[in-house]
Order: sequence, then structure tokens, then C-alpha cells
Amino acid sequence: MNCNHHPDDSTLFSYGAGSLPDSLAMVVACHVAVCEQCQGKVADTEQIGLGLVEQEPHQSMSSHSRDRILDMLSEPGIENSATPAAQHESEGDVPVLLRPLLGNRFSNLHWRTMAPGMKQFILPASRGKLRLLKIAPGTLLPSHGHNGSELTLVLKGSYSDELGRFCVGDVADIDPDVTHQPVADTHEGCICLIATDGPLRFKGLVPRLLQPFFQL
Amino acid sequence: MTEDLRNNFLRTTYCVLDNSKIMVCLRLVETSMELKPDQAVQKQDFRQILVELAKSRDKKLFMQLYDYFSPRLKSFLVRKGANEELAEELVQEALLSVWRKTSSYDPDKATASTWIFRIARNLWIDRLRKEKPDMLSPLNSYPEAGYTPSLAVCDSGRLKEAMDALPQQQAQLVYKVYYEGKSHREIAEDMDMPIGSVKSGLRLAFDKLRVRIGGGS
Ligand SMILES: [Zn+2]
Repeated sequence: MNCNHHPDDSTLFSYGAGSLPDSLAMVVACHVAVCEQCQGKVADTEQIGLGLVEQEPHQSMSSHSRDRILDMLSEPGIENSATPAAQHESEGDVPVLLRPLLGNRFSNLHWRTMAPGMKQFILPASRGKLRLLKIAPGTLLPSHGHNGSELTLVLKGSYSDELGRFCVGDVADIDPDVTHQPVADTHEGCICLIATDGPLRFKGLVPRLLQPFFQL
Repeated sequence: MTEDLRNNFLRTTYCVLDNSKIMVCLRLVETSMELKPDQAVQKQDFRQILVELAKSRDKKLFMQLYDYFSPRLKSFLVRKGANEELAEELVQEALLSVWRKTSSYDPDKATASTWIFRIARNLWIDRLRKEKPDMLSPLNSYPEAGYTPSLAVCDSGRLKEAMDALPQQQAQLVYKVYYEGKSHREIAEDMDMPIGSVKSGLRLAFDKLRVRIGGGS
């Protein structure tokens, strides 16, 4: 896929190292799956990571672990408990990587209305917040900044803000000091996967009243 | 990671995040693993072993992989913040996964190490997500990376040189990402600097390391 906006190199670097919070890592994984340019960079981070692992002492496993894995290899069923991937190949508008979590279609999700023109669906994440946001055509999101990292991946439609136009596959990797106000800019509206690692900061009173709806 | 383990670890190994000290440690570590010359050969062999395993399902052969990779994976996971027990559990899970998936391993597309470490990394992130009690997600739902890892074997001498050449603050950032498993936000708090500066420092460091290990563009 030809994307115009990618995660920052520092984000890819931490992703490759396995050090991004899982919420952010999910967004990066979904982008990298379709972006060759970023695949190359992640491969580089993996090389660096392997080199660094070799430069430190290794930690030996406890004494019984060797026997245990040998036992497990002999367990019946070990051979065919591989990935149940086939069910995700069928029709749908949800990206294949997210289907194990969401099913095949966005319309089957139980969306929760947050404000006029704005619905969300919360996904599991242990560190940070991960959500789908569905924005009706023309809807303007409240202007906000962040206290941590925010990664937004467009899954359907497109949006525009001060930083540019973001289409399917594009990632907005926004520094905390940047304040932006996205607007869904096509007739089909926009669905985004958004990970945040720290609360949003809304400007003005009305948007602040929205804060509880964002569950932040 | 438990606080004790962590403190102990920091005390014994890298208690000061001073560039020269890190390098001293790295040097010490290196002299203790002077199996350099055949490392490339070894990696080649692992590739062979994986291919062989897909056909023969030979457990003895698999245990060669296990013996080499399990301590490395364990240290990788402990670095990310897994406690001893969880790290071992994930190592087992990752290597069982290797055993099951050997037939999908393509030796022309990835070294054995990149392939195996990627499996472990994905398991780790998936596990993080599942730690939350209210999560309804199915097992192993973390997206499988289907794309090609690098084929090049990392030249650890050149990487060390590149690390040595980094300005102290950038080396420290890399250290915190790789060896402490910290997020940008945590690093910003640790080092008392804005996230934007953490990111730009990492960007610069990544650029230099990539060029030196022969990646990049
Ligand atoms: Zn990209």
C-alpha cells in the first residue's frame, strides 16, 4: 500500500525493540502490515536488537524447563494446535490483522455514541488506551493536545487536520505539544484506530465536558 | 519485573547509565563470549536446523535450538519487564510456537534468529494486552507479522562501534528502549525531558545505527 504518513522512526524503533505499550504497538503493527517502507525499517530495528541481545549476559532457564518442554513436545495435539487463520480470510471491511479481535465487519460492532457524529468502540489494552473512533462526514473533533503519545491509523475514509490529509493506511504520529482538530472530510465519514499513552488535553469548556465520554 | 529483582539487577550490572560504563560492561560481556568467528556459521546452521525440523520433527535437533535461544529470549523478555516466571513461560511458549510453525519458516526470507525473536516479541505484546482482567480477546490474537525480516546477520562489532560513537544522551535513549523496555513517555519522565526530544534523539540514534549495520536507505 502506498501511504503518505508513517509512524515516526522513533516509534518504529521502539516497536521493533518490543518496548512500545501494547496499545501503540497494535496501531503500528496494523500499519506495518501494509507498508513496505516501514517493514524495511522494522527489519533494521530487529537486526539492531539481535546485536544488542548478543552484547549482554544471557539468563539461563531454570533446571526443570528443559524436561518440561520435551514433555510438551510429546503431548498429543501439539502438532495441530497451530493458528486458526482460515476464518479471517473471508469478506469484510475490518483489516485482517484486527479480525481476531473485532470480527469481519465494522457494522457488526456495538458502537457507543459519544457525541453527535462521533461513536467509539474500546479495544483491550493494558498500557494506554486503544479505541476505534467513527466520525460522521463533516464532523469536527474537538481541538486537543496530549500528555503522552498518540497514534492514529485510518481504517476507512479519510480526515484532515492541521498536519495534512490522512487516508486509509496512513498513521498520524503526533508529538504531545501538537494541538490538532481533525475533521472527517469525505461523504463516507471516517473510522480510525487510535492509541493514546496519556490523557488528552482539551481546549475550552465544551470539549472538556466531552472528556468523560472519551474515558480518559 | 519485581522491584527487588530490578534493583538487584541495576545494582549488579548497569547501575549508572553513563555511556563509558555501559561500554565497559559491554566489553566485559564480549570478552566472556568469544565465540565470534563461528557465530555467522552458527546462525547459518540454525536456518538449516529449522528447515530440517519441518521435515524430520526430530526433538533432539529442536533441543539444539532450545539450548541456544532460550537463555537469549529469556534475557530479552526480562529486559522488557517480565518477571522470571513469566519470562520462562513465554520462552517456552515461543519455542513451542517455533516447533509448530517450522513449516512456515522460509530460510530465504529470514535468519532463524530474527524469525524466532519476532515470535517472542509478538507473544510478549499479546501477553501485555491479556494482563488486563476485563479483556475478552481470544488467545494469540496479536497480529502475526507476515512480512520479511532482514536477511543480513548483524555484525555485532560494527554495532558496538556505532553505539560507542553515539553521543551520550542518544546512547542512553537506545539503552532505555532496548535494555529497559521503556516507552517514550516513561523515558521522558526518567530523563526529565519532553517526549518530543526523546523521539528526536531516538530518531537520530536509529539513523546512525542503521547506516552502520548496513541497513537504512
Ligand atoms: Zn509506513
